[in-house]
Amino acid sequence: MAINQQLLRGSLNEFGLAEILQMLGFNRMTGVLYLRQANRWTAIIYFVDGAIAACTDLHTEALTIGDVLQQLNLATAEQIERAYAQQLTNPLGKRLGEILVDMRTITPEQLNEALSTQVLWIVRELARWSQGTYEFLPGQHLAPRTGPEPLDVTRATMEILRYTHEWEPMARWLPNGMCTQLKMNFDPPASHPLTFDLDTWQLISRVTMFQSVRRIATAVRRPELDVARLIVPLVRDGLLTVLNTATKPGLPGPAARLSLESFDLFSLLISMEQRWLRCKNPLEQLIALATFVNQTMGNLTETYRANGLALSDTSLQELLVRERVTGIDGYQFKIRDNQIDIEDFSQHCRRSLSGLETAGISTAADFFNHATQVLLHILRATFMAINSRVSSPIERQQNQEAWEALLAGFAGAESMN
Amino acid sequence: MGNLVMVIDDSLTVRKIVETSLRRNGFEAVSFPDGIEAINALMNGEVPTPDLLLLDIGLPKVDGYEIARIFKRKERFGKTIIIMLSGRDGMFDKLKGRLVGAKGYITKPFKTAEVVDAVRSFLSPTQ
Repeated sequence: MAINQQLLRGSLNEFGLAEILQMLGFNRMTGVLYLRQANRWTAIIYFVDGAIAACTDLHTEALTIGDVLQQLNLATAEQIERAYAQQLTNPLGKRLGEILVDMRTITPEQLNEALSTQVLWIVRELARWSQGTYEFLPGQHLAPRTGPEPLDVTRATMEILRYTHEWEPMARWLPNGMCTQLKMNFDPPASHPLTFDLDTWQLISRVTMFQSVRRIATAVRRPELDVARLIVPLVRDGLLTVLNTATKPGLPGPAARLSLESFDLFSLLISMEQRWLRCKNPLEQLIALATFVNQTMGNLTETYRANGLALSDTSLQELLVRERVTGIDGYQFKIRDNQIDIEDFSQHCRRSLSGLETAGISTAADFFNHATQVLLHILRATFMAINSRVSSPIERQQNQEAWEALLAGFAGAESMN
Repeated sequence: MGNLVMVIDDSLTVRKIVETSLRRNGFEAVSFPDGIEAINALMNGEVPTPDLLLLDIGLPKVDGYEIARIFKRKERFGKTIIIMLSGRDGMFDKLKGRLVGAKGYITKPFKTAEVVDAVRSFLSPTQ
């Protein structure tokens, strides 16, 4: 089946997600699939060579990796909270799952299992959408993070069929799927014996606090489909009532706090270019590049503060260690409070560039070229880390195009001789 | 009045950023690295007449003031609103911009919101 441009967008009541997945898988497509509902609820599925590489569901009740880890009984709420608290101090640092691996709460294999499960469960839930639109944008798109092993569409399709079949009779009682919000009915039918087994009691006791099927499942550390099966009879028998709460577009709580959508990257890039144009010599250019790193970290601190969070003092240092760019040749950047010590760096540059007079042109030129490469690497890594906190792949791509245009201009100077 | 904005700036970074910011805010945008290329594209019918022109002053080949004069001399561009972009912040530059018919003057470095607001004060975005 050859793919037709007209099949790349359309209405979900013409083609269901299972059919779209098969079409994209069969044609080994690479790109992003957008699913949109009238209430602005959007989901994004990333494809690489026809396999599902990652998936993002943009609403406040979306399935998080923390939910999956708890539902698979791989981590407790306290462990997730501890890892999240650590993550909140450094948006440029590790992901929640990676932190949990570092904390030895889970193994790397368990993290992969949880990430694959998250993708599969999101996709099977999205397949329930019968209204809305789909649009596939071919090409390389940046996934927000490195995901698990790509998920084969055949496996996803089989799971969708199984899930849809099982969900069909339950849909009447849980109309918003796993996001269905519930409350206790304090005036239950008189005919009900009101005797429950332990599992059911466990669920009932959490309804008031956690409300949605998904959050209840996370709280009791059981897979959400199992919990949904137990909840359906409670709704059917009138013990629980479905609340008519609409799902809000956006990000789930933890992701929303870490989001850097409001970081004004474009204005920062414009200001960097203007400063760069005023540089008169290689020394000023190197100092400007180091200053750009500081400026980016300063703006990040401000954006974070506006989100009510405090950036860890070691965020930049950790980034440099991870990227293996803690210095230039023998020189180590002096970093304090996420700022490179510009005075110290300037002195080092002056000494190295003055080699122009003493040790010959190549020494100074080599230093300049290497220092430029290192500083551009740091800037690029910082931008990439910020970009990974932006949910729209199109915006991420636009951001990257803008900074690459700027860095290409800086790199043009990387040929002093 | 439509909502097509033309950006003429020799910086690829500025062009990408301004174009993207305008599109994110519901405006159409095209951009060119210099005025001659832009005018050629307009004369050859490759792009429609813009409703607003964001024009850098320090352009290669022919500077922004001269491009503005060319625009103002052609009847076809009579309704095109011109806003100058410049790294220079002197009164003299601003006055020169006025004299060639510019309705606004934005100094670099600018916040992207500043550019979008300036465009929005003349054009309406598509929803």
